[in-house]
Amino acid sequence: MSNHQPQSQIDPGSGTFGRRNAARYVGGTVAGESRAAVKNYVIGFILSVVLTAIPFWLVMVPTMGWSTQTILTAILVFAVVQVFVHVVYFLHMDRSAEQRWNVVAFIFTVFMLSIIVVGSIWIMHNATSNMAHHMDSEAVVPQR
Amino acid sequence: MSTAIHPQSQTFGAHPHVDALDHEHSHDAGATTVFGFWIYLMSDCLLFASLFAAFAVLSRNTAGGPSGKELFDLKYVFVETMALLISSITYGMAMVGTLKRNAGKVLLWLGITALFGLTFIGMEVSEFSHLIAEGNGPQRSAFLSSFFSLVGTHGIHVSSGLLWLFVMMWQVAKNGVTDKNRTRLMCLSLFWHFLDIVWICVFTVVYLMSFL
Repeated sequence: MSNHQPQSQIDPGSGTFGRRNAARYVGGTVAGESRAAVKNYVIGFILSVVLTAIPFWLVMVPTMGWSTQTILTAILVFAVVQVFVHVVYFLHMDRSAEQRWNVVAFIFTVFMLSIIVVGSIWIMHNATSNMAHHMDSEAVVPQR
Repeated sequence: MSTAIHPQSQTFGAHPHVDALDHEHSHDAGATTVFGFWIYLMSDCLLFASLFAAFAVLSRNTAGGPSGKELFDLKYVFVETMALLISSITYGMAMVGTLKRNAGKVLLWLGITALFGLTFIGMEVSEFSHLIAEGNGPQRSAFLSSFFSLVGTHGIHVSSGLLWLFVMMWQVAKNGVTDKNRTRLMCLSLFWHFLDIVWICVFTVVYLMSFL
């Protein structure tokens, strides 16, 4: 019996870093899981530093001759990629069965917040252009 | 500290069967708690989405006052961003410490995380007080109202996270890395990393985009 118990077994209470890492790196040791977790955090951190530095550099040192529109698109893409990096390397979200409901809740939230943000910008942009037109024609009246 | 952990590891070795059952049970309870906290974070996400939407709509309404380009210092924001990012990885190292139930390591990394968190909050408070002192407070324009609401809400979240962090340091120092403390640290981990994710959107949408 005792032969079947590895000396430092992953205790099932952890589940801290998702099923994937535990399964990939182990044979079931805490040391193995720790190493995998540290590696995960370091990779995530390095990627994040790079993905932060580049957009700051693009805006602060505009030497590339890129148009405003191109820089805007670039920094938005960098932000989305970095959010993804954080979700995978820091929040440990993956496609394992354990994580499924977390992922479902997350996707639903992203869907809802796109409606809120894109919807607000869209509606208010239309409202602003319509109002601006309206105010222009009104502004003409008192001048006459 | 070590006396608090020791009895537990003894139990772990002595009664593998009982212990395995115990852990299975607490795993379920812990996992449910963490999932519940995740759902809370998702609702918090929607709160921030509303504030971002408000900022996006109002950011050009400066009412004759200064725009973001005139007010913000990107070097300063970059340092702030790095402080928060570093606090994310140091919190991760504390979580690695919970795997081995190493209370000393957990406390050390939580302490370092707190230092970087405090740096971030200190810098933000200083930025806010400068803006307000120069008459560019939230009452100046719709742009500044939405700026202070969004960035201020994030700051309040980080401050709450710091308070929670200090409570957890006290709990770990007192009781060691128990299953309960581990679940709590896991929830705080989600909270802390989530705030860093929100900050990515803040520095992109609020600070960088105001220079374009």
